[in-house]
Amino acid sequence: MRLFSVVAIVILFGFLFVGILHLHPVGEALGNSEVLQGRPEQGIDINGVSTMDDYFLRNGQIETKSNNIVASVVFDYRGFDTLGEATVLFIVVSSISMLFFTFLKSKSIVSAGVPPAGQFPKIESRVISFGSFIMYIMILSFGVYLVVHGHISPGGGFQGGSVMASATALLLISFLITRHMQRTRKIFSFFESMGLTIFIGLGFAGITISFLYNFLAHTSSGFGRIIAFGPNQGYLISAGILPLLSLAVGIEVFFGLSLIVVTLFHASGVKDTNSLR
Amino acid sequence: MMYYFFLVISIALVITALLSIYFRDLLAAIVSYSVFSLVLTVLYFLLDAPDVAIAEAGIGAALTTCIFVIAIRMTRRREE
Amino acid sequence: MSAIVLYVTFILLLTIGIIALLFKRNLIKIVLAFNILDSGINLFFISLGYRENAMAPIFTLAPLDSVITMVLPTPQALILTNIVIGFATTALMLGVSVLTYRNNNTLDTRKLRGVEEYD
Repeated sequence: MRLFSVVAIVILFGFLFVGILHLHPVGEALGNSEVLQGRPEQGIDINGVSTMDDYFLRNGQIETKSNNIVASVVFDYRGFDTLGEATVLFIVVSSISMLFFTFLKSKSIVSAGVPPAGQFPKIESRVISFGSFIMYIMILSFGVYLVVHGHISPGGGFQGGSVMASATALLLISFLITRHMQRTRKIFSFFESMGLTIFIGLGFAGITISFLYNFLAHTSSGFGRIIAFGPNQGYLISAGILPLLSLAVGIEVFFGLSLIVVTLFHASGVKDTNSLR
Repeated sequence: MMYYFFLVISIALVITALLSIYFRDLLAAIVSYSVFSLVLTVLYFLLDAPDVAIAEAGIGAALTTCIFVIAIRMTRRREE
Repeated sequence: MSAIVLYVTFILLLTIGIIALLFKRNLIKIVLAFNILDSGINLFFISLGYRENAMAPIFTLAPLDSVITMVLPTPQALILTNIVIGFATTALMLGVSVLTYRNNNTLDTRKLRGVEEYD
């Protein structure tokens, strides 16, 4: 049995190694770049590898008014895909809450600092709590910055939401909070549902053309501000509904991931559950 | 020039991945995985993917470590 | 051409992950191996979309050259969502592992299956 596994792994390794020899080399061009001549009327040419990606690079800034092409791919060209991902996250958070349902209903909550298995001692230090509080504020501000500036600089809903959720984890671990867990989880699940609802509502707002249509990008004022093609300094109010979608996804990811951490942390403080045996 | 960066970071990636599989102490294995994620973040940044680098730093290095530590605390630390 | 070391790293990470998935018995170690495999696949996608001497696909304050070369944006967008989903599935697997431990008082897969040692 073990011999069979080893042989299978060796065969897999060989296939993979033969496979990468037939791929294009890392960092080199592939495809017919003479089809993609760029926009010579602006005096700017973008060298090409992939037809689809070069279409995005060449027209993304015109069509979605967004400087960050990754954000325009995530929220505009593949917006329906992103809706699916957000739904997957929502379902996973719901199922984790469902898995630990009997844990969280239990009244025998021990203090989170006293570990059930006696392995991690409780740390009470004023230096740790004060320093982590300052770090909490800084990480949270950085996450909000990432969410808000997602369309003009690296960032967006997913990145900013995960950074803010790591701030929540820092707060939980350094302060060992045990009180008001039920109320916290209720508030978090409410806001997580609100994020997904805002995303779907924004998708339905442009339903006269199609679902998730970027209707604000064609108003030529406000969020549809006309920006010059090519490098520019970027405007905060631009890019159509991309900042709003990014904000909705940021809210959903922040509260969803925080809810996962809070639920696991809460369940880890429960001493014993005899309802599961 | 870029090749040497890639070489060094790739060696560090493989070593930390092997260490996180090798350790019998699960806490050490998870700290090793955290270092793996951090090195991977640097590699993403060198590969001109700052969006992915931020996401990997927030999730791979911080949140995954956090929930693994919580899970070890609910079970046992040594791998028997 | 010389940067093929990234593909080789992908193969090594994938092999490490699969070997650990097959031969490790601890459930938490299996989840860790799954994470390493996931990271290897992410690295493969990003290195597929890499171009030498290019810049990130962001126009804000980019250099004003006549020819702009950018890396491919679509693999980055795919991997960006995949990282978040990978974390969510990791949390789900850890939750199931913890409940398994609470019910059976072990994390060993062979003890859980109720089989003796075999080779």
